[in-house]
Amino acid sequence: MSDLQEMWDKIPEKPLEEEDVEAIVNLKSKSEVDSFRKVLRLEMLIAWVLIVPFLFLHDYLKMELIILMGLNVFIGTILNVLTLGRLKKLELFENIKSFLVSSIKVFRAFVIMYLTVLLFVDLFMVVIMKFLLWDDKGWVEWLFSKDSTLLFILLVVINVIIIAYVWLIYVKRIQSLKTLLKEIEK
Amino acid sequence: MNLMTEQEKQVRFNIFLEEHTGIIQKLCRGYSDSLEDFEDNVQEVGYQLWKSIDRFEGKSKSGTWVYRLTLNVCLYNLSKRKKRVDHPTDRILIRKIADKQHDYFKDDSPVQVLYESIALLKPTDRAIIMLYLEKKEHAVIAEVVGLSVSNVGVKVNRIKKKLKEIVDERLARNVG
Repeated sequence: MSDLQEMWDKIPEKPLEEEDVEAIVNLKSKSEVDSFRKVLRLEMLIAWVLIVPFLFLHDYLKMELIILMGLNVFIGTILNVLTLGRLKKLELFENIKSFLVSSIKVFRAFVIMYLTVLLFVDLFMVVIMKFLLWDDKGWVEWLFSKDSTLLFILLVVINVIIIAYVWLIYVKRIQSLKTLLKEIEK
Repeated sequence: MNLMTEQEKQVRFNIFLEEHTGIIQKLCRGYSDSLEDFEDNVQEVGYQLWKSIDRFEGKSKSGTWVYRLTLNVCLYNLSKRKKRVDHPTDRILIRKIADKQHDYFKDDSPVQVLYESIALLKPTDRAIIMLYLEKKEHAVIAEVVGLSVSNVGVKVNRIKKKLKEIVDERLARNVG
C-alpha cells in the first residue's frame, strides 16, 4: 500500500492563477441543471404569453379549443413548477448517495412531465386540426375516416422521434445514475 | 440568512480555493479521460463553489463540503458522457490526443499510471480510494459518500487491494 500512497503524494498540486479564478467567477455555468431551470421557466413564460391572445379571440374560436389550450397551459405549469421544486432540492453539497437519489428523482419527474405534456399537446393538435379542417364532420365520422388516419400516423411518427430522444438522453441518464447508486450501496 | 457582500464573497472564495485547489484537481483528474474533461470538471466545480459559497454555514467542515461538491459534479458529468471508456485500447487512443505536456496526462509517468488504474475502478469506488489516499479518516469519507463508517472500512480494504493489483500489473507492463 505504501507505494500507492507514495505515488499519490507525488501528484503535483498547482494553485490556480489569478486569471483562472477571475474566469471562474465570470463563468456561465455549463451545468445541465441550470439549463433545465431556464428551459422550464421559459416554457411557462411562453405558454402564459400565448394564452392571452386566445382569451381575446374567444368570439372567433370554439370554447372547447380555448378550454383545451387553457388546460394544457395549466397542467404544463403545474408540472414545470413541481419539477422546478425538485431541482431546487438537488444540492451539490449533499453526500454522494443523497445527491444520486435526488438526481434520479429530478430526472424521473422531468421525463414524466415531458411525456404528460406530449400527450396533452397531441390531444390539442387532434382537436385543433379537426376544428380547423374538418369541422363539417362529426367526431365519430372523422375518427374512422382516412383524414384522421393520416393525422394519427403523422403524430405517431413525431411521438416516436420525441420519445426516442427522451429515452436516449434522459432515461439512459436515469439508468446511469441508478448504476452509480447501486455501486455505492453494494 | 447570512448576506455577504461581493467583497466578502470573493475573500471567502479565494480562501476556499487556496485551501482546496489541490484536492479539487486531484479528484477531478480521477474522473477525467482527457484534458478537456479535466478542465470541464475543474471549471464546473469552481463555478458551483462560487455560486454556493455564501450558503456554506459551517455545518460540516469546509473540506467535507468541498469534497462532496467536487465528487457530485464529477459523477454527474460522468453520467452525462455518451461513452464510458473502459477498454485499455481506447484509453491509449485518448492519451495520445490529450495534452502530453500537462503534468496529469504525461505519458507513462507514475501519475498517469496511477490515474489510469484508478479509472478502471467503479466511479464510486474512485471517490472512496482517492479520499483515503488523501489521508482522510473513515468518518470523513463516510460523511462525504453517505455510508456508515464500518462500511467504508470494508470498502477501503477491498478497493486498496484491487488498485494495487492493477497498478502493479501496469508498472510491470511498462518495465517489460
